[in-house]
Amino acid sequence: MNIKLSELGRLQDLFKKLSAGSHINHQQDNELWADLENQRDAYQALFAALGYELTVDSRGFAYFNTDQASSYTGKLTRRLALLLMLLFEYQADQGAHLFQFQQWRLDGALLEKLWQTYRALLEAEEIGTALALKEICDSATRVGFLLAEDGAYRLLPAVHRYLDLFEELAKAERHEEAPTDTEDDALEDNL
Amino acid sequence: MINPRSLIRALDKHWEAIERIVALGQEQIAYERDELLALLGKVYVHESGEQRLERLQQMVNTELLIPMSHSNMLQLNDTVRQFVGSLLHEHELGLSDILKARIVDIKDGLEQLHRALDEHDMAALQRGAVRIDNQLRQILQQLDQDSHAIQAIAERAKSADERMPLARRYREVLEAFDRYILPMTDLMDTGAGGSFYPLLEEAGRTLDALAQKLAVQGGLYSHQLMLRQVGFRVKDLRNKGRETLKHCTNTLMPLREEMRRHNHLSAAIALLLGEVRKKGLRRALPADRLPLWRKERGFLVSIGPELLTLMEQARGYRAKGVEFPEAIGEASDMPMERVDEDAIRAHLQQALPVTDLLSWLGEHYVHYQDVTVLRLYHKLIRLPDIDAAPNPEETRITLKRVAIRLHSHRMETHEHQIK
Repeated sequence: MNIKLSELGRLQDLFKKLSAGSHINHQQDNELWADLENQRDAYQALFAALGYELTVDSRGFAYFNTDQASSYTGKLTRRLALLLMLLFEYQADQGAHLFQFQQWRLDGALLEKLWQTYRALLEAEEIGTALALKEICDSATRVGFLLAEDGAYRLLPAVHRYLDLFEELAKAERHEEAPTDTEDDALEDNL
Repeated sequence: MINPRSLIRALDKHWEAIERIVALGQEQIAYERDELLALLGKVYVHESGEQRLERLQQMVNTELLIPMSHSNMLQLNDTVRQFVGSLLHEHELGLSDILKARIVDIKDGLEQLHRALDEHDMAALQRGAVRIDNQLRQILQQLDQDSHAIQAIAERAKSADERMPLARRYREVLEAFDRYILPMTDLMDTGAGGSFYPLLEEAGRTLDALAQKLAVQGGLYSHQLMLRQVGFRVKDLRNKGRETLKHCTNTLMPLREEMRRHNHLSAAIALLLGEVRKKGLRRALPADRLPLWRKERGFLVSIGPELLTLMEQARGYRAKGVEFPEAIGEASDMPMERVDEDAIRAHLQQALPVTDLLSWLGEHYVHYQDVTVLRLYHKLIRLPDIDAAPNPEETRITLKRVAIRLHSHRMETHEHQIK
């Protein structure tokens, strides 16, 4: 394919962010995202030729995919997974709408509550203080899962990657259970 | 007995209050007088207490409000409640069972039409057509109301207090879906499973056939027209039914899906957290499945002030002189010697065989320095055309300055050269 570099206006910014390990979120980086969406094929081809696999998710985030963890990402991704699981469970208990997670405000008080509620579990995973939770958030902010804003954090669309993983893993855990509701499928077919 | 005209006039006069009272009706059945007076106070702010009391009395006199039996509370006249409710689209969701009852009635009506035509009873034909038309109209109205009611349910679910647990917020949605959408879907099914839609198709066909028959028999035009009008309404209803169902499903389905996804996710997370508690994070979340992202570390070479200093220093560089010790000894005194190697070689060729090369050299070339003699010795034993073999006995030869003990070489002509 022919790629016109002059049309890839934000190539440099995009590459800088993506190769630093950050996720592009349409909410936070809306100009970059718009450019990425418009020239998606060109960017993907160009980065692929350079050895980077650009994944663009229609829910509003993009990143360079890899299957090799560095020591930094390996540790962070696991801890962030735990933090998100605890956060989502806590919020579900509060009756919050889980798929409106982008509206939550993850402030110090909430982190403190998480720490108090799940202290035993967190300590078992060597997350010894409420401050360590904040450190995880800070690291996650640097790679585009969270957004730091007036002393609190907000979750960004890239968090969907974790939610997908949770559902997928849980599905694998109970794959022998009853099959899904066929009634609804029939209904959708009808319309 | 209510006088319709005065009721409507009264409704117009007290509309603001009635509107509020109908809205309140969703939560309560009857109202205390004081409660109503307070409500009037909110609506008609500029009126005095006496005026409000008078207004309330008027509402009772015109039968907008009726005293409840066995108590002194007031209730809204049911005709008024229905009328105002339908004007304001304040509806409870209709029951699909009511729809079923109407369908049975339409079936009866169609049979009545057949009979009437067979017996040439035009009065019965008219009655049957009106009966079917009435039912069709009722169904159309119900569908319209249902559509509004579903919209209202969705709105309520979305705008309800966010702190309220999601399951409670969406309960009405789920109930509406199960109670209304699912049975409706069954009814509207165009295949063998449905009862409503196929019936409408059949009704349409029957009405057309009857109208045609009537035309052939030479019936009154007004009767033919009547059958056709009912036929149109049937077609209308067929479209409207499908549209309403689609609209309602489209409204509720996303909410229901959202709710289901929400439940899926929270169940999944609860399950995983259970695993984490049992097995630990490391084993519950396998490393190869966790989200990863590629990170490149950039290496930058920049020319900073340190490098400039370094270059400055390099410019002014002076090599440090290191004094080497003076070369001493004879080597420097030793004069270079001219050695005619070819002549020596020719000399050796003539002298062959030589039993002891070093002695021979010492004998003939004693005027050369020891170093030169030794060099010649080593050169001559390597000559390609002369055989050199070390003597088995060790000899000791004294040169000018040094004495050497060695197995001196014996030199002979090459064997094949002799041959």
